[in-house]
Formats: sequence, structure tokens, C-alpha cells
Amino acid sequence: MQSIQKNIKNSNLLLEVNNLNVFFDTADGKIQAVKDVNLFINKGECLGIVGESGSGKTQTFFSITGLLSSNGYCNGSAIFKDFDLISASEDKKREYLGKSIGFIFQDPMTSLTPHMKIGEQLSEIATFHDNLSKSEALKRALNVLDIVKLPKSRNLINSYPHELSGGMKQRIMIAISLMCSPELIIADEPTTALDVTTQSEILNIFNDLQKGMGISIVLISHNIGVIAETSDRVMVMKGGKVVEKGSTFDVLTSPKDEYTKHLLSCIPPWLEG
Amino acid sequence: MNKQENIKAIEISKTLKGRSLWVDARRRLFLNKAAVISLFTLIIISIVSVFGPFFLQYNFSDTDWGSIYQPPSFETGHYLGTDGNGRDLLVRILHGGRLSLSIGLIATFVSVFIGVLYGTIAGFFGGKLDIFMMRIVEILYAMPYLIFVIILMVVFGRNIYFLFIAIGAVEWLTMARIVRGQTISLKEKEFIETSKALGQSNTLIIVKHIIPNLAGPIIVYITLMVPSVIILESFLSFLGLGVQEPLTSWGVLISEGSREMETAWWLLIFPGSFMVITLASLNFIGDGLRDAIDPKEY
Repeated sequence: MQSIQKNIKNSNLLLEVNNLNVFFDTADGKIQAVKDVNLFINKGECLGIVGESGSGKTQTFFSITGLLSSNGYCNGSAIFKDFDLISASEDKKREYLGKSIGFIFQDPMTSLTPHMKIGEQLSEIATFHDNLSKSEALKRALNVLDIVKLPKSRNLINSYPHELSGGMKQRIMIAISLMCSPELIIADEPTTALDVTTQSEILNIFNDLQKGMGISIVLISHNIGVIAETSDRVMVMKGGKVVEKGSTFDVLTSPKDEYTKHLLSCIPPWLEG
Repeated sequence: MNKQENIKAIEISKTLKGRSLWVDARRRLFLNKAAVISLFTLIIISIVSVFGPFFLQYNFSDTDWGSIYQPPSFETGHYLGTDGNGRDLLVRILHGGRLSLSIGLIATFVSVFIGVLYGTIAGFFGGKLDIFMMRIVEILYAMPYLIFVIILMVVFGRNIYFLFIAIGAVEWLTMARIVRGQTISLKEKEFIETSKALGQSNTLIIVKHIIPNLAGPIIVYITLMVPSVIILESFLSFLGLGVQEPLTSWGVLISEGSREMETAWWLLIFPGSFMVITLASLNFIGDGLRDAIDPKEY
């Protein structure tokens, strides 16, 4: 049984993380933020990571993509299609980041460079990853805007980030990570800074990306509702450890861990159903 | 929204144009009267300094023993009088202006170039490199620049190009410090993190995302640095370390004029006023730009 499961896992495995530990050097000594995390993501699958603030859910993926702050370091392995992201050099890793792995941040308001036009920011990434010319990249940018349901207008391309709403900016962020047709998108609380209606639009886009384009998505959130709506499998984290994982349906309907039960009981009764 | 309203909205959105931070800053700058007047004054002084000498009948180095210490007069054509060698003061002021302004611009440009590069590298990479680079800056700060300039002049001879280098070498230190501080605060911003997550190289991040965002403080600092460089040059010339005869600069003219101010007041007043007006204009423009680019006080 064990070996069969492993085989299924291997056939369309995209990212496999083994024994990942993340540490931070602080004034109070060494702090371990992520403790022995193991996870895998298959092609075309949506993995939800849920947990409270400081549970290490963001740092897990920051360490995989090399975004840890300067006092942080990690060990373990993160194999993305036969390539270990953790032991790789910065230069090697850059070939994957933004190209095969997209990253979407929590706050769209500050994630876009303020002095650059939207079009430039979209096309920039394609010019250095795929060596496209500026006009080719812009053409691709217009197509990508269609995927995230923004109008293909010259106007949008020529406007600056401060002229757009939060939801639009987050769509632009998604569009930027789609520019080089990635296989995996890591979305770190992509809807936390947005209101509920915008949130559902953004989640719909993620659904389309996953179901329609076969892109694997890691959705990090502290909102169980968001996870329930989108992800196939879910992983619950607390204090740097994985306390429970399994299919979303199983975890949400019959939680085994105390913390997960606790977390589910926090949903107000009028929202259940 | 019905269909017509939709079409209307689309038409309106077509006419909207993206307004960059710079367009906004320019608008605020042009609302500042002092800055606009100063800008015009500065442009006029620069144009007159550059092209003026071609339209005057005297050459800046022609001596005329028949007209020594002539007060300003329209009849002789010496509009601002002559000096002790009978040279026309107006031509000399304009020539001096060319030199003072170009020293101001070139030395500032050199020091901004070095300072920005140095500061962004130290600030962006941080850690040991940052400590090492900033200690060098502090050591250079501690060196008395006057001695540095004198040594440079003694070793290489009094050459105008070394004057540029000497001033540039002194002025970049402050720029490097300012830029480093700004870079450190900028690199923690999320859009820099985004660029990293998208696999952009450090060089690209510095050039495309950090330096353009530093443009505000840098531009403001440039407008305040040009006058300080002009003053520094005047000071060095005043001490006899600057420009050599028959070339001249505002500093040299003021230095000469101050020796003769009891007998020939015009030799001090006119070069002095040219310099004061230029410096005041630059400072007003700097102030205006600061308010325009960083409008926190409104």
C-alpha cells in the first residue's frame, strides 16, 4: 500500500519538501521557525496551508524560494522537478524563480514598484527570463491580462500602480507571475488585504488557473473558508510544525488534531453550512 | 449599468492618461513661485554666461593699459567697469560663470555617480561588505580635505581638472551615506522582495527598482550640492589653489575684488551679486523640488 502510494506520488510530483527546518538568529538566540516540515505538491493540484500568524507557513515557502531575511537560514531539501532549490546557488535558483515558480504576496498595495508603468512591470519579467523583445513581451502581457480578467487596454498598460484598486493590483501580481507560464504558483495570503467580493474574484481566478491551465497552486492563508473553497489537499500548521494534513474534505469534516478542531470551531456558526 | 453607460465609461477611460509621480511633482514644482522664478533666473544666468561673451566687444584676457580701474559706464562699453589690468569685468564675470557653473555641474555629477553606486552597493548587500565600505567613507571623512587638495595640487601641478577631481572626491562621501541609508530602507519594501521572488538579478534590482526610487532625494541633494561645490571652488580659488590666470572663476574675481574694494567697489559687488543670485536660486529650486517630490508637509 505504502509503495503504491509512493508510485502515484512520483508519477506527477512537482515539488517535494523533506525535513525542512528554518532558523533565525535573533537577539534572544536561535529561534526555530519551521520544524521538520515534509510536504509534496502534485501537478495541477492546489495545496492549502492554514495556520495562525507565526505558525511558519510563510517562512516555509520563503525558505524554499530563497526569500528569507538575512538573519534566517534553513536546511533540508526541496526538490522541484529533480532540482534542489535549497542547496542551489542564487544564480541557478533565479532561473526557476519567476519562470517556473510564481510568487504572489499578501499586500498588493506595496508589491508593485511605484515608479514603473504596469506594462513595464509585466513585460520586464519576460524580457529577462525568456529573452523576449519589449514589444513581444508587451504582446504577451496583454494576453495574460485576459487570463486574470482585466481589460486588454492600452490604458491599463500605461497606468501606474497607485492608479489601480487593490483587487486590480493583485490581479496584476497574478498576471506577472503568469508571464513565463509557471508550473507552480505560491500565493502567500493573496486575499488577506482585499475585501470579500474581490476575494472571491481572485479565488475564482486561482480556480481557473488550476483547473483550466493545470498550474499547481500553493495557497497560504489563515482563512479556512478560503482554503475550503479552493484547495484539494490541506496542511494545518502550528508553531512551525505540521499538525495535520490530508484531503480538504477529510480534514474539514473529521479533524483529528486538537488544534484543527479548535480552528474549525472558531468559524462563526452562521457561516457554516 | 446599462449598455450606454458602459460605453460611456469606456470612452472616459480611454481619455484618462497615466499620471506618474514625476508629472505630479512637476505640477507641484510649478506652483511654487520662488522655485519657478529661481529656475528662470538660473536659466538666464547660464545662457548669458555661455553665449554672452560672443556678443561683447572685449575679450576676457585682453589687457588695456589705457583704461585701468574704469568705473561702470555705457560710453566706453565697459558696462561693469574694468579691473587693474584694464580687462572688461562683464566678460570676465561671464567667463568666470562658465567655469564656476561647469565645476559645479561636473564635480556634482562625478560625486553623485560615485556616491550612488557606492551607497547602493553598500546598502543593498549589507553585512560585512557594508561595514567595510562605510568604514572607508568614515576614514576619508576624517581626512582634512584642504590638505588633500593642497597635496593633489603640489603633486600634479595646478590643473583645473584636478580641481574637479579634488572636489568630487570630497563631495561623494555625503551622497554615499544618504544613498546607503535610503537603500537600506528600500530593500525591505515588498516590491523589492517581489522582484527577488521573480528571479531578477541583484544588478537589475539595483538599477531598475532601487535607483529610480532614490531619484527624489538624489535630485534634491544635487540642487543643494551644486552651490556647495561652487562655494568650495571659490574658497579654494580665494586661497590661490583654484583656477589660474588669465582664466577666472567667480571665486577668483571675488578674491581679487575684495582686495580693491575701497578703490574699485564694482570689482567686488558685481561678481558677488552674480554668485549670490545663482546660489540663492539653486537653493530655492532645491527647496521647491523637495516639497514637490516629497509632499509630506501638505
